[in-house]
Amino acid sequence: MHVTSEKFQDNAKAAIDDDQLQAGLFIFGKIFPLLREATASKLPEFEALRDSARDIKIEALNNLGTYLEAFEDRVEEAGGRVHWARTAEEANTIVEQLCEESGGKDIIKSKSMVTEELELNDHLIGKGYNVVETDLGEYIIQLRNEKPFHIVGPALHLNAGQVSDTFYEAHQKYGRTERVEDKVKLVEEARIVLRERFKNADVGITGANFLVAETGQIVLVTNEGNADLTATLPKRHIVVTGIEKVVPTLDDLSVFLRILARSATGQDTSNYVSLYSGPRRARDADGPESFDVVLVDNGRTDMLGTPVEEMLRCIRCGACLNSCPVFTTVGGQSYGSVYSGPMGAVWTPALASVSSAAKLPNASSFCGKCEEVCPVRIPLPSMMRHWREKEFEAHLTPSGQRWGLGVWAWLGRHPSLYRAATSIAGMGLRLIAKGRRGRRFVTALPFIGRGWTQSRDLAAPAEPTFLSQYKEGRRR
Amino acid sequence: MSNARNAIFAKIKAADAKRGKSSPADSRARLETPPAQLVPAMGKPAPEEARDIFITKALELGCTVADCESFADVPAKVSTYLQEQDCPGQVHIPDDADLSLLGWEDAGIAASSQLDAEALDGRTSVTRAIAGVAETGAVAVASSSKHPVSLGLLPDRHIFVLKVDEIKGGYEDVWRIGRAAKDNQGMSRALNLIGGPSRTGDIEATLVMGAHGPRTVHIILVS
Amino acid sequence: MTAQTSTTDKRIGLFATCLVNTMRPRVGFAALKLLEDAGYDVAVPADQTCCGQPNYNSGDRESTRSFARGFIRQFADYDYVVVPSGSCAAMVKVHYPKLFEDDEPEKTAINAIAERTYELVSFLTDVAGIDRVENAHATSVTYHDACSGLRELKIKQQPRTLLGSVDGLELKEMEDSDVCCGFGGLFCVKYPDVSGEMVRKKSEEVAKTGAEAVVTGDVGCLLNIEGALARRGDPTRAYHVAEVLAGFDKEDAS
Repeated sequence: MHVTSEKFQDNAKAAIDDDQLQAGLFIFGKIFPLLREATASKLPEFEALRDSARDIKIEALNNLGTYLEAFEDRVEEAGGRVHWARTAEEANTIVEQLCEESGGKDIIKSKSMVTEELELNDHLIGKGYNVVETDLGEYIIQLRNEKPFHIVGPALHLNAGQVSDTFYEAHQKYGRTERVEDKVKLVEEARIVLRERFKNADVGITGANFLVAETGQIVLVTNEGNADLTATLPKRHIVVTGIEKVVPTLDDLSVFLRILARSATGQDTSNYVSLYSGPRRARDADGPESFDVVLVDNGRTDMLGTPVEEMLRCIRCGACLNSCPVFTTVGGQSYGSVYSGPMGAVWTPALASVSSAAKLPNASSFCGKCEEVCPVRIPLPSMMRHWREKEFEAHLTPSGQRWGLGVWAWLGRHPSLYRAATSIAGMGLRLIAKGRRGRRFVTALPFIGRGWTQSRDLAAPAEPTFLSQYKEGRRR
Repeated sequence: MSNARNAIFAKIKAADAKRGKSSPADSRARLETPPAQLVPAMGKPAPEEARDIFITKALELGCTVADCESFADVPAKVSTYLQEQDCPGQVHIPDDADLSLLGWEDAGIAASSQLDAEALDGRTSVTRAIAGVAETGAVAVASSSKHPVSLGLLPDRHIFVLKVDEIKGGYEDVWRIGRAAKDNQGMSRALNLIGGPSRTGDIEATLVMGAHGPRTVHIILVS
Repeated sequence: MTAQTSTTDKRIGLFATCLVNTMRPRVGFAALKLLEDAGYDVAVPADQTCCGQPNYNSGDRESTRSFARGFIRQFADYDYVVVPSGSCAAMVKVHYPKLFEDDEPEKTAINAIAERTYELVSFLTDVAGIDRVENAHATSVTYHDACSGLRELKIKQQPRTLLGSVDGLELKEMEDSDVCCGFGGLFCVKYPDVSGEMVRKKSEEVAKTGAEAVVTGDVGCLLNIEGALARRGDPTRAYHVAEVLAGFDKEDAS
């Protein structure tokens, strides 16, 4: 997975100045959390279901081998095949071979974050295939050659005008020369253009929200129905997903279906919840002739048995992104990774490397709101702190910060020097502060303090330190 | 790629050993006899209330609902609906005796059994379903000779014919039906819970109906 | 101060925190007043320093453990440790135990002290049983829920109860009072653009209430919001909740 996370600060600055993008963030930061709360409040068992969901995922991870084997057996019974890929390269090669077997070149896809992670589209396009995303948001960003803005709403940073421009340019080749501006008409235009792709595709590639070990079914959850068209019309259905998606049974699946849409978009249910296993049966009236599941590791087994194992419970609902004051300030593309927000800040170092992605787990004020809303109760701040510890252990922390922390720790071991240092700091601040309405503020600080005074003043202490005054006998 | 499989399972085993919490026998037992999970009250309504809850939820999802006494009345109900929608009196039906033997012609409807993608595009389909789910308002269908999945995807209008006693409480009831119909290849290839018309919110988060699948979903309840 | 006029024989060690000590000493004296008025014998151990959060949140686990050991040395002998900061109290209460999970006998000592450590306002309400302060003050305030106190220590109603008991004081709730102000310790200087935007939004919400002051339970958030208000030329004051409850804010010229 290629990441450009080291540019987080620059990206963030640009995103903050982008009014259009900020309007999209308003939807995630304000509207979705309200919808989530409204729908959760109508389900009294919501919190208890979150506990169950967490426990089921713990069980699934503790017995991952057993459940994956069972899943594989059931898929094979249903006439499907399961393929295993250690890395992105292996996964992409397997998918390419399966596409080659189909004999055709036209591929349709429904939204899958794992294939984004694998950069599967680039791989297939490089081999001469036509790959078309069919989730409307994914389709738009594919045409624009962008990364998803949000794992659930990939194109919500764009306005209808921008989508209109994109479609106008891209759809000329289908003989659509009229510019369409209205949102309903834009959806209609995409429907018409993509309908033809669906009907003519040789291969359909989907991800999977869940895998059911009991039955060998892959579960797809969408509102548009595009995943079902992808899984039904082409001759070949290829499922590409991560090994951590397995849940034991259908009864376990119910728990997730009850919390996923509520956490993601504040819906009671998504409009299409579909379970598929195997190719078209003898008795079936339609369906693909082959069914292949590519189970991807790509760093996941490295997380097993480590402090970030809990991250493997993630069901990609996006609630942590919507609740995150950093994400809702900078947007997904600032993260330089297909996974953004708190979940991305934990996944990205695991899948790429700490050195390339350390900016992400550091880009958090540890406010804890993500953990509060996570439907499977992943302790996201603790996981981010874990990566900061790995960064520190590997001496990747910026040297100035490292030096400062060392000095601070040393002062902590020498209380009299700590008192002296804080007294001097207080005096220094009082000295450089300027009066304003009876209060004194510092408006420009040097060194690391520049970051503070860049966007705010600092109220200088009004008096000597608490400890020094207490020592001199002041009590009130 | 059996190398990959072995390598992945080896790493899983190593983590199991480190954790010491795996219990393969218990997990296999869980798969054999799936233990009940927490089912919210919403998922198990009183049988006498299921119908009304289902209708309310289906309406919330953007479906329209009509009811009739018997299957024989279905073509007339379909005809009324098509007139309301200002659509030609033409439907596509699967090879399902519940539907194919009805008096479509008498109701002034041309019922076609053509099911290829070109034929279905933009049309109206009428299908049966295996269950209505009161908890969500979704209708459950299972792929079979009587139910091509594309009938619920390609047409512009999808009409479900559902018996009132097929309305069930929650997801678990659908799983029960699915498990009961298992054969040596497992459950049906496709099991779809369809909650109203296809929709998207991907442009400026504005909800637009008819993204890829049917623009309208109509449910005819047969009592 | 009501409910508890009789003195107790419980001794409290007040952990001032580095930000109170250096940047807002008056909060420490307000805390002293509130606790003594509640009938407790309060002492301030002289050799206290920092809880170690800057190091902990930078991944420097070993130094953090040394801060924690220093904390035990200073506070082991008190019945309670009270901290006028949700974030530093949560550090001791929630995070210290995680640092010594595999280390007996330190683990026992840490767990014991973590159990006896409280954030100031929640101590006053939940332990001392106080539900009102006798203090009259005609002003209006808006309360910002500092994140650690809110989410790690479940401090939400306690400060509102006590503020609501001040005669004449009006509480004007802001929108998103539970959204982070963007302080986050070193976060605010490591990511100044993001933090600056977060506190800009926060100060806008504060201004929208028209309250005369914003009140919160952590000096870090207080300085952050106060500084952003000052930068935009907004005269709204910023106080630690202890300053208002102790009536110290009345000393300020308006």
